[in-house]
Amino acid sequence: MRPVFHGPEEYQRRLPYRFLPFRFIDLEDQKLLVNLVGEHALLSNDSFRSLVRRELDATSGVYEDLKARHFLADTDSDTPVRLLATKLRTKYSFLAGFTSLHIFVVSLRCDHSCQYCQVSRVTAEKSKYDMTIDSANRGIDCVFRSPSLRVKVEFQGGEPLLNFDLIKHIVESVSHRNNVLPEHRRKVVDFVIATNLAMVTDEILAFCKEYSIYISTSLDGPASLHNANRPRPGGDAHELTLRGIERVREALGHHAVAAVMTTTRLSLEQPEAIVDQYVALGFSHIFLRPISPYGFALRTHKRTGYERSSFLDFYKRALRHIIELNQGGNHLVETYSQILLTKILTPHATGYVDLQSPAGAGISAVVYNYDGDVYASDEGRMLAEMGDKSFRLGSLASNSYEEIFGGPLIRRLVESSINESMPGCADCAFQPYCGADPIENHATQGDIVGHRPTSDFCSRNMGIIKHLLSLYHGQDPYPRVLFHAWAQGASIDSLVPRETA
Amino acid sequence: MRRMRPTLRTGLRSVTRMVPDQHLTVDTRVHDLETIRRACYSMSDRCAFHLDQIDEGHVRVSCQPVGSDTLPDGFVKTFENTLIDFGIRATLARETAVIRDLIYRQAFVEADL
Repeated sequence: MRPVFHGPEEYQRRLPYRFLPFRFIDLEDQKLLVNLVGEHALLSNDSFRSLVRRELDATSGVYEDLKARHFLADTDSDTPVRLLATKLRTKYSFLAGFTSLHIFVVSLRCDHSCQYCQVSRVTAEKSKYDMTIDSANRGIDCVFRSPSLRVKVEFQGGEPLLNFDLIKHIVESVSHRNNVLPEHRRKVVDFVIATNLAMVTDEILAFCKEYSIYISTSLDGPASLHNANRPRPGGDAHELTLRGIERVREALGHHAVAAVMTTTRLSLEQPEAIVDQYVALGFSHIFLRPISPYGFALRTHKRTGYERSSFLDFYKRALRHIIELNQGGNHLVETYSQILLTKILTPHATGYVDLQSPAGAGISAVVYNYDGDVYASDEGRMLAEMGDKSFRLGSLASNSYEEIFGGPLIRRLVESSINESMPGCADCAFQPYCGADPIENHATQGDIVGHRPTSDFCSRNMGIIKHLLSLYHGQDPYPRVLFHAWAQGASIDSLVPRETA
Repeated sequence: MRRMRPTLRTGLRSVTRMVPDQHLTVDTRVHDLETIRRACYSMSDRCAFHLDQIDEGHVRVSCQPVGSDTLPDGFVKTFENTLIDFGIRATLARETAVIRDLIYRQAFVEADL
């Protein structure tokens, strides 16, 4: 029988080294190497030249490091292959669950008039923009057809609380249906309502408490910025949001509500103030999101839009401030950085659909629109509101589950978003960390594969990843420890050794 | 196992006159067509490229700057280095193709998808 563990002699160097798959990119006058599963190494240009010429000194620390991280092999052992295969399988583990995020757009009605609104909402009086019970029930059928053992049911709009009765129906139906399943087939179901909190009542909060529903709201920053971005009658969007957050926390607990921000042109000069607002309100996470090229955001681009380099500058300033705050004892995580660092520093998959390969559109997340149409992503739905239904997967009323989730459109999206083989991505060192966004490619470049050198998605992610890696390998050791804490979901204190007396 | 030979010449000859369309001649014995194409693609945010086969061993790369009358500063040097980088990438990809395929197969065979 083949032994499970081998002695050290098994791993002694016996052969001239051969390469294991990796890519490389320039990073601040050095070469960054990234292998198939995202492990990375930073080499001087001289060491890189020696490596590719097969002249690297086998007794050097660089050599040992590269061997340990599976950039080269010098024995005939199959251990590197087995380990890399295991890590690769872990990276792709999200595929097994298929569609785990099910978004129900229960109403397109809204009481706000956000300038960057991505869904082109209609005014609150038009009730024909509410989802019907029949559509909701068919959507629930799809939820239970998903093989995923853990699903998230998210309610969006417009303002979903304007159709709270339907939210109640869906939550109660899903919970009941799940509870009558045999135990081994029951799913873990998370419910989230994405709301501006202006309509929240005690009755709504009591229901959320009963069913452990999380709340996600928008908070763009301090009052002047938030109100300018999100006008409503009365001009008090910020005050309503803060009041709503407080009410939710009182009723459901401090961590039952999370906030997301959207970066507009007005945001660019005040990253620190935005971050400070999140700290002041006791949030543990902030998600630095760029504006999306959909919906009203496109129409108001001249007022709200900005160049890609401007967002990167904003991001770097905000991240610097966040790192300083953490160093001062305020624990705030930047969510997008955390997602990327999880991919950079661990073999784990993340559920963030925009950084998956193939893209998560349709296969990880799906949107059931108020009119019964089904879309591959929220962005696909936004495009439909602008008159472009290219990403409509089908209709709950007239298409079967197989037609919606196994039809030609989903197959085309998958084929066109495997970044291991896409032009530009196939050569990119950051391929294991990145993803693909066929819908943004279509919306901004007219093609779902897209053109990488002129892609905002590409340049934004490359800029952020380079910045994170530069900080990680920089002179200051603190970001390195902080980033490991973020990647592992651990507190930084648990990673820093205590000094003994 | 074949050693990668250091590139002593870039195979890049002559930048002709400074006009909106600039022409570079690349020796395809040093940089093959696939490498040239990938290098051009990676820089196609700065230039529109056109490739012509001059003869069996040479390709003319015509570069028309995007949004300007002249090429960006240091363009030729950057293009030279980009060719070298993509040449190394092509060699690495070729040499690791079999083991990469093996790793993917091993990963998915055991995934029970």
